[in-house]
Amino acid sequence: MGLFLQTLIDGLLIGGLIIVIGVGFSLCFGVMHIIDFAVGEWVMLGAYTAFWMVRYFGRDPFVYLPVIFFLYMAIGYLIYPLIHRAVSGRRHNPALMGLVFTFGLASLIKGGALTAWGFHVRSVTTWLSGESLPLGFAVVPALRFAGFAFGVLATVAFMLFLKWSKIGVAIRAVAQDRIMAELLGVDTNRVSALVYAMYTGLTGMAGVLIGALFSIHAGMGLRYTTFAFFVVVLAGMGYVPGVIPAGFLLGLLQSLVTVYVSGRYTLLAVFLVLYGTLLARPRGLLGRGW
Amino acid sequence: MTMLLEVENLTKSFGGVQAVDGLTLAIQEGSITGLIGPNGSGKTTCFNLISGQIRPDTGVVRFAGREITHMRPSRIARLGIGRTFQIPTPFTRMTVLENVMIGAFSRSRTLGEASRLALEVLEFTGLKDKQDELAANLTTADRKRLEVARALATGPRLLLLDEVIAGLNPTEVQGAMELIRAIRARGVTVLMVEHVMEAVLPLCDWVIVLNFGRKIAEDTPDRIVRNPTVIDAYLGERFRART
Amino acid sequence: MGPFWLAPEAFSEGVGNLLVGVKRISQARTSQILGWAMGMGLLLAFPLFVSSFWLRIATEVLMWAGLAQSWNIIGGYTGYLSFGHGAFFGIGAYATAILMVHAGWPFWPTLLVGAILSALCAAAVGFPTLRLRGAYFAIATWAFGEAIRQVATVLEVTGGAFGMQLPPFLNLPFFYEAMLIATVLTYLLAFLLLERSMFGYKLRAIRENEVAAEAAGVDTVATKIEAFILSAIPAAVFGGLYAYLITYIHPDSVLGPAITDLMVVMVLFGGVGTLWGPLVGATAIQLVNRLLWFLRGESTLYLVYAGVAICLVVLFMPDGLLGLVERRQLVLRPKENLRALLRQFKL
Repeated sequence: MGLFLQTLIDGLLIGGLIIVIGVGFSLCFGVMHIIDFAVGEWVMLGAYTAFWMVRYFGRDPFVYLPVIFFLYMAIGYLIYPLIHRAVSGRRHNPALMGLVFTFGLASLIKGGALTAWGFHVRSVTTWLSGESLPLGFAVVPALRFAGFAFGVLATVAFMLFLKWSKIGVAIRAVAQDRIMAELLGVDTNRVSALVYAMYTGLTGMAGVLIGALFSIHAGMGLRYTTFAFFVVVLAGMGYVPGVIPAGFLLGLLQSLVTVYVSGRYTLLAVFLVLYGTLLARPRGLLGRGW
Repeated sequence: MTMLLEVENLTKSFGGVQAVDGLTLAIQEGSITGLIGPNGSGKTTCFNLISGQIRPDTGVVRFAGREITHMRPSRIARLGIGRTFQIPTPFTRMTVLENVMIGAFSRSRTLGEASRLALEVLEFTGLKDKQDELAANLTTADRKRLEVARALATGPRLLLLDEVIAGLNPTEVQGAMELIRAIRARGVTVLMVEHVMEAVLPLCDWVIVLNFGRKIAEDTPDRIVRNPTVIDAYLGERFRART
Repeated sequence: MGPFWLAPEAFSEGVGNLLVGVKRISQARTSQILGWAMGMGLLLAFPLFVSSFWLRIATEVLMWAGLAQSWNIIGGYTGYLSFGHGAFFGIGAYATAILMVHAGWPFWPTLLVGAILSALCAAAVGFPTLRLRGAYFAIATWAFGEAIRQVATVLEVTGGAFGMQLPPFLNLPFFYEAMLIATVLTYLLAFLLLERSMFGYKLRAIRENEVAAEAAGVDTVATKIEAFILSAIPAAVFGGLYAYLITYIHPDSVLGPAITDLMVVMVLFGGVGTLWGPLVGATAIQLVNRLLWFLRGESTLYLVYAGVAICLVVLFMPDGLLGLVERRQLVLRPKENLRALLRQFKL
């Protein structure tokens, strides 16, 4: 039973980290109705950035977390106008065009990473790597716990921000009823840009931790895009609170399959569950989706 | 006389808002019935529930004796209920003829047959000379006509018209009223949501009034305008004074 | 009407159109018939007067033209983005490889198996997702594409990550002709089934405004599933042909995301939802690709160019090249103008 418990804990810990990505991604959809196919690539970029920063400036990757957050926030904020243009009304099928645009963006980023940094697999170590944390009934790798803690903290901070800050209220208003919010004087465009920027920032940060926990390579984005899709569909598209149980579920699924079957089957398992969900409960497990 | 459409105890809420609250009504075949009420009284939701765009929380919708409550909109359309949308939704990159043809597909076997049916409907609705015009280039009045034509092409027994008259100038209003009368003369039952009383009162045989998702009155037009509940809720004093 | 996964409606209309077409051909002006015949003849005889270098390029362009058109059926005409379409290509490739290598089958029947398998997968993936909005379909097809790639990487029968080696058949002119015929048939399929049929109009209505189409009596779900199945089949056939041509396949070469990317960018660039858009787009993009490969020899830049191209096209010319042409000529009859454009290319 020790292995099973260990697997469960591992899964939950990873889930916590995935939730950070899922929350931003889901909010992005709720506010802008855009599915960012490049989500996994932002993770990859965050991981690589941490790697290069550690390479050139030394120190622990954790130190760079805020830097990466602001860096990718800025990048997201700059890219948003392009997305907005792709989706703007005068075109036919704006929603479709938005999807295609982010799809192209994903290819672009991945191709760029492959070309610039090649196929090598990198890794990053922190002072926590290799350390363990005894938790009474199980021993937990300290880094994984740190990732989980980060995930929880970031998610809670984000949720609080959404609930209590003035901008957060504006964001929730736009997510609920864009036209009404516009009529009430909210600058929906700036709100959307901000949401996208926060999402890229959060996801980039999550990437740092993922990079420290697992290996870093240019093709890693695929996995996290799949994870993000899974989480968002199970949570119900646009229903941000649903991301929390969905994220943990994904962590558990991934962990169980990796340990009891094989790491090579995880994506397949994720796809099958995703498929099953679309078949049986397309509006998410809690039925609150779009 | 059998009722063509029967709605029993329909309810629907969105989030916290009760849009339709225990609505029951019946439409007689061959009639032109008006559905009026203040904004937010549930008229369009009622239409959406009947034609299948949304599912009710509770309640039953019966068409020609057959329960259609949870059917898909395309199935309901093929069974004989056509509808227009409040904001016209033409297929913008297609011509007027092509738009109407699509409606005729459900009862044609070849493209040629659909085309002929569509032309006939275009003639009937007065759009024949614009058949090759792209729907995107039409005026609002013509777009509304196109909506009606497309719905007629499906060969409906019941036609749901959602505010076809709002926004038209007086000449266009007259034209629309004549069209609705002609539609009834063809044997199609009409249920129309409308705010323009000048059109509703002369056209309709029967008027149903909604408020807060519930039916508050139904009667002939001249008795409805004298109904104090209706005047309070919707029509206002000017109608009482007029009559 | 029969089970929709056999796409009976589309096919019965297609056959009807074929018969009408045959009748029209017999009534057409001799000059027109001669023109088309000469064009076809030239294309068929192409291998006789070019070097194998250009023949190879022509073969690739033809394949991509066909692949792009297959994506166009569901992505362009219907407006539902299949972001895992490369999976069908890969399924066809692996079907041919597995049957020829492990079961000793001759080449041609393997194409049929690949086509049937792809059709079944399309029906399976389409059934739950095409009832929902386009975003779900995009996600599901993307995930499907990745899942199939994983399957190919882990199974033994597919050779895992090392791929498979097919019996070599080094006859470039044969492959050229085969690709030519496959592409011509694909375009004919698109023309008969989509350009002049109720089925095609329904797809376009779905793309324009799905709610309105539903209200007008179109069974959108069944129609979409039919379209998806129809789009999967040519992709599988091209996959099988490609596997035999290239002799060695592995998960990244026939199931990689680059394939879907290229299909998408080609159709977008040429003009979504038009008959000739995929051809224009495929020619342009593939020639540029080959040129770049020639100059720089790097394969991962492929993805960057495809990505940049997609973004630029979406931002500046969402209707593609043919869309630009159409708009400049204040069209009432787009088909006439397209024919005019074509005359400059082909006949």
